[in-house]
Amino acid sequence: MSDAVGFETLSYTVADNGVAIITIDVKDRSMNVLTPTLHKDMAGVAGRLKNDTSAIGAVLRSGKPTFMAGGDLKRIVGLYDQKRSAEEAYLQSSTFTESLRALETCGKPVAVMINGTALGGGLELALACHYRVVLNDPKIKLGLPETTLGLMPGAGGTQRLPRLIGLKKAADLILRGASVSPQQALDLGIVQATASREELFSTAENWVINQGNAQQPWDKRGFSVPGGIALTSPKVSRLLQQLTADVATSTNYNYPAPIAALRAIFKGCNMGSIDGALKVETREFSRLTRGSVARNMIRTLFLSKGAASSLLGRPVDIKKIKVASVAVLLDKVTQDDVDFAILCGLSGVTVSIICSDLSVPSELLEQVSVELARRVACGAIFEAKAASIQSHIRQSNSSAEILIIKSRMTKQEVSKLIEVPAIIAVCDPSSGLDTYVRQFFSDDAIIGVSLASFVDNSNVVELIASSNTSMTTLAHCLDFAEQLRLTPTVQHNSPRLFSQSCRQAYLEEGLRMLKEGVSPALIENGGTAAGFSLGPLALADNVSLPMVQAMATVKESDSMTVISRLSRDLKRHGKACGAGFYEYAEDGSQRLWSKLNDNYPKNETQPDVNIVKKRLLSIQALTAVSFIENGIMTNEHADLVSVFCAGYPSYTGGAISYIDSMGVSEFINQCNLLSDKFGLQFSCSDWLLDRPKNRIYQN
Amino acid sequence: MTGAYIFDHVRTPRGKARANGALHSVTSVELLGQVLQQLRDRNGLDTSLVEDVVAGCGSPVGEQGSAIGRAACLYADYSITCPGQQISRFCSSGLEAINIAAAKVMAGQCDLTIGCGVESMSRIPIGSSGGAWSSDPSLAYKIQYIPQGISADLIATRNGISRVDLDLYSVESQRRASHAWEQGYFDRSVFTVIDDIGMPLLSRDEYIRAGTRFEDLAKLPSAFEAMGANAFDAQALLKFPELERIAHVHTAGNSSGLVDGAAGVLIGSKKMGDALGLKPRAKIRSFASIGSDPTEMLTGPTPAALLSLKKAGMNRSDIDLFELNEAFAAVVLVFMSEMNITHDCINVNGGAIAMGHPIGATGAMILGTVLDELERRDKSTSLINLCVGAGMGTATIIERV
Repeated sequence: MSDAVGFETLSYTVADNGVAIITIDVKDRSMNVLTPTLHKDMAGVAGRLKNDTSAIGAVLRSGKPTFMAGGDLKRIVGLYDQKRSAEEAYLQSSTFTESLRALETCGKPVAVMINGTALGGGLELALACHYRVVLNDPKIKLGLPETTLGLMPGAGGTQRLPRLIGLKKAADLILRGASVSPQQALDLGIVQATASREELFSTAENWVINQGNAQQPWDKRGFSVPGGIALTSPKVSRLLQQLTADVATSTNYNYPAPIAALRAIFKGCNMGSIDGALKVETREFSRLTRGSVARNMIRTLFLSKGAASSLLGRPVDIKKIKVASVAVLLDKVTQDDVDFAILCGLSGVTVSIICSDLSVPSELLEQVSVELARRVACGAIFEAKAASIQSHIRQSNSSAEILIIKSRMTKQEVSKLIEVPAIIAVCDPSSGLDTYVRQFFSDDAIIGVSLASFVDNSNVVELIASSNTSMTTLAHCLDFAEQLRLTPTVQHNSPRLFSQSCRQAYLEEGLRMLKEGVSPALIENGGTAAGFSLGPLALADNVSLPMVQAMATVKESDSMTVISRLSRDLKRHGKACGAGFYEYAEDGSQRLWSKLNDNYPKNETQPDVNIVKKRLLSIQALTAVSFIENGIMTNEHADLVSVFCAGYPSYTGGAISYIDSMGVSEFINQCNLLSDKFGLQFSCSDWLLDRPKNRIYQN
Repeated sequence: MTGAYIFDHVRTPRGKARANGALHSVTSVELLGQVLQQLRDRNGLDTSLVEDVVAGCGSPVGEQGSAIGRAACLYADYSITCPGQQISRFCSSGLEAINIAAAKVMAGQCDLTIGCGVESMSRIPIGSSGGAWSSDPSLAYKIQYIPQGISADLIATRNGISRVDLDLYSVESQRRASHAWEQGYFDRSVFTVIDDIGMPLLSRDEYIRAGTRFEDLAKLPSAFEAMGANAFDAQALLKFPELERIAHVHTAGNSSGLVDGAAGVLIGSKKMGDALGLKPRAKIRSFASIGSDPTEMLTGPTPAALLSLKKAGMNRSDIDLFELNEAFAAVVLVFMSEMNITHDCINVNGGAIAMGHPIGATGAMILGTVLDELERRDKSTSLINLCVGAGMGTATIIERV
């Protein structure tokens, strides 16, 4: 065996049988990611292999437990602020593509052994090899998830994947950003083989020695994309029409990445030479790296989410706890309680029910078993797991680390049932329960939580710490969230839950528009076109109109007169009562109430939908600003919660990033115009007017 | 400017575009070739005098592609000196071909031309030519492309036209078409298409359903609802956010039928007509094509009509009979309302809802149909008009001489 040839991110040795072994191992990273050095080293090693007369071919592998995670997202986030020219961005984006093309055309067969998850650039690297064998571990993921973070495959993925498996299947995987298991990859034709851990290397090596074909199918004369691509095939035309409409309507024209990927797939696959096709892809990719959407999505959905999940900012000197048992003070059972009990059970945390009414625990248990049966039936969990979860629910335990308070009971009453724990978590900060609880428990042990936010499928939890909440209490609540595999965020001294304030501001703006005479369909379509999952009126119906009224901070407002009219006068309380701004049919369909127009006549001239969108996006952004300027939460947490819990569209990166992407001064201009026309709710605070560098994020 | 005159018009009957349709075994070049043979034989033409054959076709690909105007000349044994070409403006191709053939005469660069159109929808299905406007993700995304049927339902929704309105219109279209056939109004222009060994294949429009009742149409399911649910309704609502939903009011019964067919018009200068002893039947007064919103796609007829009127220096009231292709019933109802005309003076012998719409041929067919009717009624002027894919409209005004 020859001596290892040193590259910074990979090593190259040639075994006695002539098979070169290229091992990628990016230093100081837990997983291999595509750094500029790796781009360069990959080109270097391709040249080395080509010219090394002792090497007949190569096996490429990873020196880490996973294969490769993909692009270096931290670096990509920073690109936006560099304000690169189109040419600079293109040149930077083309380096890895060129390295991979050099490897692919080096004239010697290259087999890749995929020993673990290969995503994004990792899978693209594999696609540029002539033979792919993957470890047959169903936990391994292979995929191109770039579009979910505002990017697209930029190292040949949009060209090689359709040339391997056809446009239809490739577009499906790329546009959804979906990943597949090794077996699915084999069935789809993305890899040629799967192998056990013992046989993985030998399978790759044997292929190099015995079959090694150094030419990709798309470099052979007469190659055509499987399933066709020419628009003269009505089937392909219809497929592209459908895909285009799917992309347009699933992104509402807000997310540039999926359509960029689809353009590259279509345009590139119609080209005879993959070299030209790769340039088409690089152009589209480089354009995305210059835009704000990729920056925003990566920063919030990946970096900020990751930081919060790993409890960044938690005081390090406070010892971590592992919660064994949680007590819940309850007087009636809701679906949130059921979901919470199951969530705890899933992580092995025991839930004890404390109540004066002894029927409550058995009712909870019964509802839990119904819900578990449902989840078992649809394959979400295994039966054994369900049984174990059920065994974690008890009626009153003698001790618990956290007491969650959802109903009134004095300390003495609680003490009779349970040893009072160190942390008292109070649900629903707006219920007034916290004031009540403070009479009995020590302030520093009390923290506000929303049980709903534990179980709303967002995986992001909002915690409200008061100025008296001790650091220990906060740290231990963070630990508890982590234990439940949730992402905790913190609000300090917040009078109300941030997500609730955002949603309330959003739907009140919708109600105000209705009162002004904006067409209800335009309000609702404006909301969804801006990227919210529900229009403001549909959201109000879901929350229930009496609840909307209760949540309002200003009770005498245009929006509240609309609520009173519908709810108090017309008895249309929302979706739960089957009538609100919408009418609900028995088949589950809904349409805007036909008499809404009689009550709120439409103006002759209707605003442009972009005005509706701006109003809805801006009002929530201003709500977020009010939380930031009062020091209630960080920019990162405000962005996270607005996207994950308040329905703010993710292409913005969150309500704060929305402002930063257009620049604070432009946002203020926009608000001034809106406030002149539509009211003082769009006034900007002095704090916002004073932001340096024209942005809120200062780092 | 030289005047362009219409000397003659012929068309094939329209065959159902089905595997068992009467014209399915006939290729596009045969359909169009027989039209050219008819024009030659009916007028005793010396084809060496024909200076261009402009052929319209909606899907100019495969056996229907590659300058089928020239191919049809060769098939029909025209003089080898007679050139032919092919144009596409989707649904108005046949009319546009006539306009271009007329323009060559008006410009003084030709004395005798043929404008014609052909579509074998059974052999080359609609959509066969693909195309950037509908299927290239770069463009289709930008222009918010939706399939034409969704556009039809969209314009019905936007204009508050109900399913009942459409079905009532369509029943009348069927009644008029059947009546016209019974009375022989189409006899002058329709010829019998023959097969390879000279046996007759079809002499009458095959798609027509005599005796269609309102109740029959009311039973039909909406044609585009499922397609709309696949993201296309949502796309339409993104473009027109003031709408809550798209009402899927079009059915197979109030939309045009898929058929095979061809038609042609012999055009020339007065001088050439005199020389050959051909009697001019009408003069082409003006023509115009316009572009309109590509998502709505079907709103071109009104601006095209207004522009052609302006070019001719005429008013709406100067037109005796309107002929607007019945691509979808809503297209005609919107046009009637925008132009403030009643059903009495438009599509008086029915249209594509009853007889079918062979895309590239229709424009050339309806021009001839309305010319025959002008003569039968002894009226003078007609405006022929079609809505067009990708958001366009084409109109032509003719006047009897």
